[in-house]
Amino acid sequence: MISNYKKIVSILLVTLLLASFAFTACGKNNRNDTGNDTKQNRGNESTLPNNSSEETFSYPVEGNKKLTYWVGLNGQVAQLATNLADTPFAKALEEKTGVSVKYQHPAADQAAEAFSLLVASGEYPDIVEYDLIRNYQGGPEKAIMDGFIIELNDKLKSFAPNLTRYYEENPLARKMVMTDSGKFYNFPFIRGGDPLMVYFGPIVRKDWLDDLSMAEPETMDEWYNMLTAFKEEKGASAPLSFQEWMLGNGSAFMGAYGVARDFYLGRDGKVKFGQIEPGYKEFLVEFSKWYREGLLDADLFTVNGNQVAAKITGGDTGASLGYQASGLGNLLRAMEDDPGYDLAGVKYPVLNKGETPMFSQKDIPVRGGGSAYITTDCKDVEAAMRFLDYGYTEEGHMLFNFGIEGTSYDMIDGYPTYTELIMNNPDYSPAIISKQYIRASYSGPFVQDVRYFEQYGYTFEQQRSANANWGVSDIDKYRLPPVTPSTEESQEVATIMGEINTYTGEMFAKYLLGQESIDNFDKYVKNIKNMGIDRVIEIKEAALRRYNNR
Amino acid sequence: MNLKLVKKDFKLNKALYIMVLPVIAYFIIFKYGPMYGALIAFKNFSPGLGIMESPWIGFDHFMKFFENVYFWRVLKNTLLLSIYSILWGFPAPIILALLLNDVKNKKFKKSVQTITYLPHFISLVVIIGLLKSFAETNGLINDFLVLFNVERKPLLMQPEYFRTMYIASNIWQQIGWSSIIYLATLSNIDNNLYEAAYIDGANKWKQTIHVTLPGISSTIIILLILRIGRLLSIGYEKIILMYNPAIYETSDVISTYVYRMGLLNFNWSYSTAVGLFNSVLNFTLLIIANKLSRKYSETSLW
Repeated sequence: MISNYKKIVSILLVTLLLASFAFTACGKNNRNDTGNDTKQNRGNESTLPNNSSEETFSYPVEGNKKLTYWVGLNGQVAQLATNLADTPFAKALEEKTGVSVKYQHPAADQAAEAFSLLVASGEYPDIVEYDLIRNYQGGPEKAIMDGFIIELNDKLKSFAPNLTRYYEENPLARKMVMTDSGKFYNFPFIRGGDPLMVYFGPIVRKDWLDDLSMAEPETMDEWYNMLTAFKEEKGASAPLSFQEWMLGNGSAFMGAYGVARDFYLGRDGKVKFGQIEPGYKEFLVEFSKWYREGLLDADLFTVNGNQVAAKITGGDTGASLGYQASGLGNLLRAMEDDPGYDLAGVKYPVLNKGETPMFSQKDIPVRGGGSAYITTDCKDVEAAMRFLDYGYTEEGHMLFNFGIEGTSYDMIDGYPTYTELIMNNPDYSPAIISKQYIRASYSGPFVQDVRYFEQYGYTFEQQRSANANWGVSDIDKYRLPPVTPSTEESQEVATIMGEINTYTGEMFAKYLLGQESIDNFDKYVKNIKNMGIDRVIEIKEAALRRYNNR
Repeated sequence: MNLKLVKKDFKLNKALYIMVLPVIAYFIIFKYGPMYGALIAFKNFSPGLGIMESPWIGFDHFMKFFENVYFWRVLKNTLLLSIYSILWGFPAPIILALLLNDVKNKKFKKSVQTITYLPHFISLVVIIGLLKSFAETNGLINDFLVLFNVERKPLLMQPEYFRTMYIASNIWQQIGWSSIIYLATLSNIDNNLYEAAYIDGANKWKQTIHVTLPGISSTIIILLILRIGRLLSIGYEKIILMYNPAIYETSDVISTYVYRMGLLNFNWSYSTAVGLFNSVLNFTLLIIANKLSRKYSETSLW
């Protein structure tokens, strides 16, 4: 022990030496001394005038405004356009708003790192669209304090009248977007209806079920019997296959035992961490049995989406977890030529017949993803706000959800109907071609319309029933609302959870593969407690109280 | 006095001084310049305040890392993976070069060289993609192992196989490319030496031991020292592409840990501290390796 200490001390000394050396090499970057003040001023000055222009304002914004806009380019948009500005959608938006926008895109699949580097760089575009709640330690409040984005409270009424009106009509959305101290800071992506928030769940081979004269499974036992039958009668080599992280999407299977994978509200109203609850142990016992008996994909931790899709279409797999459009929809489309092939989205499994699932995937109406923020480097806050507020106007609502009238949709009996160009394009699937004209098929600063989903989400009848089945759950009761811990608390949470997530992820694998006996579950829970889970729960409890008081 | 000397020297070798300028500029701008960023290891970096204005917090981040439950594990994994990489990976190209050197058939030699270079030019992402599907339960490697009555297993989910797969794929990818420098050195060995050895009755093996190896020993040692200097800086890209929670036990190294903590969790200062710790270890090892080499052979970096 003492020798370890000595080693560390000597290492630190060398580090110190190096650092002092590095010190001499610096010299620039003093701009922050003065930079901060001017940044703050910039934010305030534009609020004073223009208050009177509210009544008379109409699009387009005058004065040939130019803005820069950082946003990850959706992979399916990228198939036909290298920059969002090249899409008909962005061109129409520019024409309508009168603001010309230069979009900056991080390299595909590297948005998280690119965003982290963008923030650290200290030089920001006018607008940034990214999930700050999930990806900025300390959340929006910290981002404002760090001088990354600006607070919008005093400007919202004047420069974003349409978003303000939406908030007045939808107090729940308003409660979810504001921070604990009452700050508004974003132009959020809002899902405008229940079916839009449900899009992920269990999928099974319906034709196999019919062949075996089995009903759609509801309980864990029925699932077990079904998977065994798939293996023995249908020769499936991996009866149940999905990407391991997808378990976190709606806590399928473990939900039957009354636990979610992450934090949730228990039946007693207290914040709980699912992976240390007794129910989780029962889940592990059952699931590792499935693995041992070859009902679960042996490659569970390494398979990627394409491999899973290949297994489902190739008859290796008869049950999976997947998304309504990119999973169920794409699979059905791929197998359209095979009339015998059929899939169904079934309810989340429960323990006893007749129970309602506690958990399922169901999004809240307002998430961080798709939200746009105005940074402290933005020189023309009014133009930026006017530009972003357009998404919440009636005209903008139609553009974001349905695109250009006459091209991507027609008004038929007062119902905006997508044209053949979108729904039956000879060259591209609706998923790809729609993203050139609308943003409803992914996300952005606007209110998503249910009518988009009625046409786009249900290309196949199976998707409609899947959506209904997946929506059956008590998740609204047991979900932890989007709470925001304070900066110091978030840092503490991040440090503790960094360790815990590594540990639980690893132990889940070990329990499942049988490398570790589940009898040691108590020790496992104790280790997690030692890592500080109780402190995290305490922080979440406090944040929950603040949220309820908003 | 000294200044005069320099002036005189400059006048004499003007061209040389000018030629070295870009190199010096490169090091200052790209290597020494960014070093001041390492300061944030001792601060609580906040992007709004910038590097200079962020508050000092001393060694807190270092202590946090040393006290971390995973400290010893990532350190051990980093060391073991590096040492095994050198143990198996370093001699491989030397052996290939020695073998190729004795091949008399030009055509055969050229085709072997081309085939072994090729993987070097394939993107890492593609290589790992291949590796992943080979290592599946129903993949190529398992198909092969089954012939020897080995049970099918998802190989990339077994902690005990990770290092083997990592190092073997490294060797496969780099062996041809790394052997080039040895082949070049080998071609410089005077043929008279071989003839003399032959006349003295040395067979092929003895010739290799007493003529070929000494002929390239200085190259080997220099490369080995350089390699040791990079001992702990394992590229995290490859591991991140390969690993999953089931094999963290052997695959989580310092750089992947830094990646998860720093870039994904926005703990810039903390991950810089860990990265700096890694560099200091590297630096120390380099000095030790150089010292040892100077003691036991005539070759060393300085």
